[in-house]
Amino acid sequence: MKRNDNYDFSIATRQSYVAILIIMYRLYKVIIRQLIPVFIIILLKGSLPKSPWFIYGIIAVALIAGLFSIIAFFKYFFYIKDNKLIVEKGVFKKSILEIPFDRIQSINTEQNLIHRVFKVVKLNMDTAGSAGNELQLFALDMDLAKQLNAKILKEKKEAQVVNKAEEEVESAERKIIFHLTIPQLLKVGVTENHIRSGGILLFFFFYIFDSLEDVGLDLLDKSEEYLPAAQELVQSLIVVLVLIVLFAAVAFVISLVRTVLKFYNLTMYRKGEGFIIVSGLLNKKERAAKDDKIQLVKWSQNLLQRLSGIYEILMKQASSQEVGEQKSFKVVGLSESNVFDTQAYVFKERHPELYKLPMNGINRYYFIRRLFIWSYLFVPILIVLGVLGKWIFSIYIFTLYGLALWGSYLSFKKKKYGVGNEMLRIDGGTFGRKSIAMPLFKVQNISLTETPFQRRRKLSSLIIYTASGEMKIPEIPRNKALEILNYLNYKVEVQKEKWM
Amino acid sequence: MASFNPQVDLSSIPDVETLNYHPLENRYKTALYIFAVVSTLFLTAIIIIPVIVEDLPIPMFVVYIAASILLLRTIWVFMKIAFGFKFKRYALREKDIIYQTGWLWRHSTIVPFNRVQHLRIDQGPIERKFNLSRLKIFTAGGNSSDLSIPGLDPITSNKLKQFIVAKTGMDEEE
Repeated sequence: MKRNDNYDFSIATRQSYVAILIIMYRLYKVIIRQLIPVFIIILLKGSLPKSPWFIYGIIAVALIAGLFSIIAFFKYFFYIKDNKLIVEKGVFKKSILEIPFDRIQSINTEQNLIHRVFKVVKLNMDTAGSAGNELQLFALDMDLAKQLNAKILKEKKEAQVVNKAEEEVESAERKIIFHLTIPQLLKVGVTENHIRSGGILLFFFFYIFDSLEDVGLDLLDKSEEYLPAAQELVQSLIVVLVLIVLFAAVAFVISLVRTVLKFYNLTMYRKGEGFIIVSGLLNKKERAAKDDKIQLVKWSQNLLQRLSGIYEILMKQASSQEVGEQKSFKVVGLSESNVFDTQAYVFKERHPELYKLPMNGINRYYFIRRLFIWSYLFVPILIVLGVLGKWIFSIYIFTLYGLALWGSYLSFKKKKYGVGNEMLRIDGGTFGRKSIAMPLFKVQNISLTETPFQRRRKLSSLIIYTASGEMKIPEIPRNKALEILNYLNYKVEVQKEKWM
Repeated sequence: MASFNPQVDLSSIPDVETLNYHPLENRYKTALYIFAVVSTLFLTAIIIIPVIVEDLPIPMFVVYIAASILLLRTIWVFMKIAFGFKFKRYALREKDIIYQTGWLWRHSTIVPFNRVQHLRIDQGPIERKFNLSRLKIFTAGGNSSDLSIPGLDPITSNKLKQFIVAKTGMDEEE
C-alpha cells in the first residue's frame, strides 16, 4: 500500500490491516489468561475431555473473538480536525477520543514481532496527565506514521504551542551517544538482580498454586500427607543446598532472557535537547525523553555490576499522574564515563558541581535503630528454636539475622548526602551502590519528620518531593535538616527557571 | 552567566523555626472529640455483638483481645487530641505556607507558592455542623506530599485561598 507524500489526515482513516492481527492477539491473550486454571486441570488430568462439545466450545470462542476483532478494526478511525487528533472506536458503543495537539507531549513508537514482519509501527501518544485518555494506534504503515508525526508537530508549531526546546528536538539530527553491543548485553544479563527474578519465579509458583485451589484442587490437604517426610528433607543440609542452587539457576536464566528481550540492541541517541532510547528484541520500543522533563537522575550498581564495572542509569520524567514505568527511562550496561556524559547532558552547566559536593554521612542512630528492629524480630525466634532444640533450623535463621545486620551496617555506611549551591545528591545502597541527583529548583515541596526517639537525640529526617518521586535524607541533626530545608525552599522561591 | 549562581549568605535565608504559627479553630478540637466518641461507640457495638448473640462461632478470647485493642486505641486517640491538638498549626509567609502536625511523631511540610498546582476547599458533614472547612493544596509532588489544613473557619480558608491564588497568579505574569 503506497500512499503519496501528502496524505490528507482530515479524512477518517483506518489503521493498517495488520491491526486486525494485533487486536486479535490482544483479545486472545486476555481470554487465555482467564482460562489458565482450566488448562492446568486438563494438564493434570493428562487427557482432553472426550466430549466434542469441548472442542466446539473452543472453536466458537475463538471465532467470536476473531469476528469481534475484525469489527473492532473496521470501526476504528482516526482523523485530524481543528488541531485535534480524533479517534472513533467501539463495537457496540461508539466512543470518540479527542486529543488537542498541545496536550500531546511526545509520540513514541513501538514494534513487536508482528509489526516488524509487516513493516508497521504502533504509535503511543503521550499526553500530559489524565491517564485513561492515552491514545494508541495499534498498527500504522511506517510511512504514514512518519507523516502523521510530522503533521502533528507542524500544526503544533503553527498554533505556537510548541516550545523552543521541543522544536529543536524534532528538527535536530540524531547522534548516537551509547550503544550496547552483544557481549555487553550478556554481561548486563549475567549481572542482573537475580533475586528479583527469583521473586518472579516464586510469584509464578504461587499463582499456579492459587489457580489450582480455585479449581478445587487443594494442595495443602495433600501436602499434609507428605509433611513428615518433607520436614526430614528440609533438615538435610544437602537437599536444601541443592534446592537453592537449582532455584538460583532458574532465576539466573530468567533474568538473562528478560534482559536480552528488553535491552537487545539498546541505543541511546542525543537529539536536540533530549534523548531517544531504542531497545528490544521481539518488542522494539522507541522512546523520547526531554531534558526539561527529567527531574531526577539515578545511577546505580548492584554487587555483581560493581564487580564488572558497569552501571545502569534511570532518568525519571515528570508526570502529573503517578510515575509509571513508562515515564522513567532505564539504560543499562554503561561505563563510568557514559554515566558522566549522560549526566552532563541533563544537568548542563550545573553538572560540574555534582562531583564537587561535600558529601556528609548520617547519624549512627540509623544503624542502631535497624539493629533493634531486626533483633526484636530474630532474637525471640532464635530463643524459641533453642528451647525446642531445633539446631539446624536455628542456623538458617541465625545466618539470615547476621545478613540483615550486616546489610543494615553497610547501608548506614554508604548513606551520604550533599547539598550544594545548585545540586542535591544522595548516595546509598546495601551490597551495591546507588546515587540520585537533581538540580535544586526541581524541588516541589519539603517535609521534615521527627519520631519521639529522634527528638531525644535532636535528629530529624527530611523528605524532598519532586514531580517524579521523593528523596529522603534520614537521621541527620535537626539544625542541619532545618538549614537544608530553609535553603532548598529559598532556592525554589528565588529561582525563576521552570521545573518542567 | 553572572546572575545564574549568586553567592548566598546563609544567615539571610528566612528561617521556618522562628515563625508565629496560627493554631486551628478550637471548635475543631470539639469536632475531633465527637468524631472519636462516635467511632469508639461504633467499634464497641461491633465487639459487643458476639457477647449478646450467643450462637456465633467466635471464641471469647478473640473478643477479649479485640476489646483490649479497642481500649488502647481509645486511650491513644483521646490523648492524641488532648495533647496533640496544639501541635497542629500553620504559618503563612510571603512565598510559602507551612503546616505542622503530630504529637509524638511530628511532621511539618512546607509548600512554596510557585509550585502550587491548584487549591480546593473541602467541607464534610461533621465539619459543616461546626462551621469548619479544610484547605487542600496540591503540587506536582504527588499525593503523599499534598497539604491539607483542617479546622479552618470558612472565612479563613477562603482568605488563604485568595491569598495563594493571587501569589501564584503574580508569579506566572512575571
